[in-house]
Amino acid sequence: MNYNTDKKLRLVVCTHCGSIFNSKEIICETCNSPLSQRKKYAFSKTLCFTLISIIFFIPANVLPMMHVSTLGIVDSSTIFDGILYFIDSKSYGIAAVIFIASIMIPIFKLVVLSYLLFVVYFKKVQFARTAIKYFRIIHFIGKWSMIDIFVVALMIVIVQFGHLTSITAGAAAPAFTIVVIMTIFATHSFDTRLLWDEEEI
Amino acid sequence: MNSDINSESIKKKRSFVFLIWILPFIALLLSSWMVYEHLNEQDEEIVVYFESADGFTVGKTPLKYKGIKIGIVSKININDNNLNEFIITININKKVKKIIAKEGSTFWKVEPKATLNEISGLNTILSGVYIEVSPQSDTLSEIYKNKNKQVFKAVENKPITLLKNKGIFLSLRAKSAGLSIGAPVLYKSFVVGKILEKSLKEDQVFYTIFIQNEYKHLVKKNSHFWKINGVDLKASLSKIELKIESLATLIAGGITFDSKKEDSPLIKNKTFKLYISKDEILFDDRNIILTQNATKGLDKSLKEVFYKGFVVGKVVRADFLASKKETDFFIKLKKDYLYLLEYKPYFYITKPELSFDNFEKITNILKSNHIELQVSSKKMMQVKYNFELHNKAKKISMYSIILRTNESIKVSKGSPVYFKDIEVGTVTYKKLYKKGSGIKIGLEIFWKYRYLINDSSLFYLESPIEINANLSGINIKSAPLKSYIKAAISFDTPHLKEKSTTNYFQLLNSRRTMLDEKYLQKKAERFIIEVEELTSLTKNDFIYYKGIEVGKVIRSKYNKKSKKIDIELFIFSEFSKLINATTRFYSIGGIDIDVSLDKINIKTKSLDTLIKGALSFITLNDKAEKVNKDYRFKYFKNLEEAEEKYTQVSVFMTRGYDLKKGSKLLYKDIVIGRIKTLAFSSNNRIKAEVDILKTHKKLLRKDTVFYLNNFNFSLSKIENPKAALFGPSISIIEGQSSLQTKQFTLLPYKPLQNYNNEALRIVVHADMKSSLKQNTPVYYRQLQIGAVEKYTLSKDSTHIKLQVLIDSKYKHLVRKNSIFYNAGAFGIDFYLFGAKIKTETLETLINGGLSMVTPTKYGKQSLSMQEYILEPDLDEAWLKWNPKIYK
Repeated sequence: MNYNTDKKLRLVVCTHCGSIFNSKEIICETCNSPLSQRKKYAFSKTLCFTLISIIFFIPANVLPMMHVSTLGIVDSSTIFDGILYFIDSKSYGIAAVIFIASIMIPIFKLVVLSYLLFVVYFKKVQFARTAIKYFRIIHFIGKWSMIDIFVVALMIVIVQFGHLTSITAGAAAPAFTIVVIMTIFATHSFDTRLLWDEEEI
Repeated sequence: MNSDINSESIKKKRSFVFLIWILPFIALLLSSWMVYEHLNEQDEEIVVYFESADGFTVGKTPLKYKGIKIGIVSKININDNNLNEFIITININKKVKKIIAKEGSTFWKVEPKATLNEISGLNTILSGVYIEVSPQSDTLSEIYKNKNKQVFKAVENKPITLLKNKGIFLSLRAKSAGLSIGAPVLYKSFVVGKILEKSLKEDQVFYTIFIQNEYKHLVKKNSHFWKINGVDLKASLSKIELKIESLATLIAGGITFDSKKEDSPLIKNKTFKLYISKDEILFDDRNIILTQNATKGLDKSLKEVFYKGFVVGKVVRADFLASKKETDFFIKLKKDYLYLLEYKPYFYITKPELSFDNFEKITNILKSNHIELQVSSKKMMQVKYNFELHNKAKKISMYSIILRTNESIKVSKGSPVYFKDIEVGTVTYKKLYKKGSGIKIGLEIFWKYRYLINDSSLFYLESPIEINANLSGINIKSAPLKSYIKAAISFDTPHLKEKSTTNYFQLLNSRRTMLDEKYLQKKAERFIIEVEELTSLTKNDFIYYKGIEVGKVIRSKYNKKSKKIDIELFIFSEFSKLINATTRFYSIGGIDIDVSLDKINIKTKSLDTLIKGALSFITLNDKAEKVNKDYRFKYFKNLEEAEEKYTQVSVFMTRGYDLKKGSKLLYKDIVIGRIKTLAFSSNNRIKAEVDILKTHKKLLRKDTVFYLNNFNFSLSKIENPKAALFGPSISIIEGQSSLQTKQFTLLPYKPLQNYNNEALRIVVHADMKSSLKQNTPVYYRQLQIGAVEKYTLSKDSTHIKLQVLIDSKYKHLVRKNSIFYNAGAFGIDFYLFGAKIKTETLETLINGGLSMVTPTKYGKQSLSMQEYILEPDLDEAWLKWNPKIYK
């Protein structure tokens, strides 16, 4: 693949307004945004956030998401329990939504992030085009990833029938929140331009 | 330069990188901790063996500790070694496991239970059954001492030991179960605990009851526990009592207890007896065995033991021993009456006897058959618990008496003997004496009434009803009811202090004779009066002295010697000293009625004597000598006679004039005597013996006139109206003669006022009697000068002979030539122009009368019994005669 990077051309692009300046410019003349050829520590940040995300992904799935207490009997369920419950009760649609939102998407995000990091780190420029495609996807769905937490939060608020039935958040809820937030951080801190850098200058 | 910048940036970069790499580590730590925490909370398995896994659901059925879920059933397997057992694997919280999975923990299943006395585990209806666990101890330190254990065996029910610190456990011993677990324990109807367990040991039921700590002080050392049934229905003839304890006990029953305040508190746990009912507490535990020879119909209906009418015990059960042919009755006595056993008790069966002579035991019918307890000794005896049950009451020691009677009596064996209507004995036999000379009756008197019998005892035949009616009242004496059916013998002992020397008595035939006999036992003396005939004096007539009863007539018999009747009088000794030779007995019977127009004076001693007659006596001289036993007193008919107040005169009369015995003799309208007897005397006259008070003796002169006061009614007047009511009486007009006589002739009419011997008596002959009659006045110038004394038909029957008395005052007016005419003649002369009615006076018109005229030239004075002719009519000329006659 033959292409020139901004580094090669000693140019810098304003990520905000898209104006192109000489690489020595620090501030965009058009919109006064700070200019930089690459985000500082983007790789490290992304890696770090991804790692945190992965780390918290484990308790998010292992620990119970909700504690449903019915007549004093507390039934704790993990995310996966919930999916199984809905499958059991033949609500496949909901099961699918939860499965996708709570398991598929985080995993997909993490996989994509890992892939991006892999591409950047090993400078597999040839995968850059695919990688950027996936990046855009996870960037887009990032804001929807909190659906699970949202559901739990709603449930906690709505299902409060005292002793009869009440739902409280399980330990998985904050873990899952961290997972989602960290993936968003990771996505945001990632600099897609890195994908195209063949070598260190 | 670049390198400077670079190095600087690198420096910065490194520090940042260093910082940022801390984050994953923190995250790692954090999540690890979370996972660790979670896993730490994660359940571990324990295994509990259950006999039934009914309602257990894997992953659902929780294990709870005091309602908190601490685990969940994760597996249910059947025990391969014992198919009746299930292996329940329970996931429990790790923390909790440290407490639960220890030796001594108990597991049981909680399921909805709706028994009669409690509904529990209701929450499991919604949540499903669950398993509950309880550690052995309440404190962790103690629990930690126990060994770890993973495999448990579930118990059937909630272990009672859980209540250990909340109250006390008591053990109750009962004969039979019948109370269910959970039934309440009440104290004064207040629930203080409940029944926790029941078990059967050695043929006895043991209940374990739990009493809450706050009420445990109510249980005392000698508290009584008894079973209560919800509904306590006691029905007897007198009342129906329905008692409902509490709703819970209504269904399942319960236990209640009672403690005495002064009882010492319960220190050592002990086993109490559970009584079947509150009543049972009263009963002693020990059974008393009564053995009855079952020769006759076996009576199983015996239920209660009576002692003097009180229920003192009950029959617990009756066993028939076929081999011995006897029945053993197990009875229990009330504790309060247990002492009776010390006094040689005697048990017998009482059957309701519906015989007519046994009405008193009619209550037995209501009581049904029962056992009676008698105490036959007063001394304390060794207590024993085996007795014979007799069929009859024990014979109490008796005092035997023999009675003799000649009359046939209806008393039979078994007839009761009464003393003042109290049954004191029975007739034991009735026999004929040898040769039939009488009837011999054997009596037995209860020994305790022995003292009632002594020599003064009087036995008599009790008649069911004795009516003693006299004027003072009707006295109905009714014997006890029993004697209506069965004749009975009664006795009375007038003097209880009398000696008792004999047991041989005469049987009197009635209560009346007994009373007579009793009367005669009083201290008294006997006197005899002599009468010609018995008259009204009868046996039992009372003798009064100044109105006080002093004795009575006891006997009358014919005296052969004197040919009179001797009447024996019985006079109390305190009055007998009043009697001496001058004593006169007289009858005070009858009524003395003194009737006058203005009043009726009835005099009678007492109503009693009115009918029965009675005697009284007076003693004329207190200082006269006493009489000996054989002295015969005279009997007077009344007090006057006895006092000899009267003298007697004879009055002769031609006719009776309705005079009768008792007719009064009046002097100046005062009664001075009475006719005593009326009898025919010689020459066909009637002789009246008249009693005249001695004080009027001087009236009895030779020329005293006795005349009849009879009722006389004429148009002009009514004479002696009293006589119309009370019969005629006799009046006397005192004469002047100095000679006394006792023989008089009764004049049938009242003599003229100044009648005396000097009066002129003449005879007037009339053709017709017309209205002339006795006492028809004779007028002279319309002045009465005399009256017709009597009238008779002349011997030749041609005219009426009127004997006229002319008052001596006026006799000089009657001359030989005087003319008598009928003044009562009523003449009407008819003239051409009218009529002339002529009559003397109105009185004569009505009453009739004679008028006399004497001519102006009068003749000599009339002689006695001079005869005149009654002129039928008046000659006008006579009225002009105007003789001047001087006396």
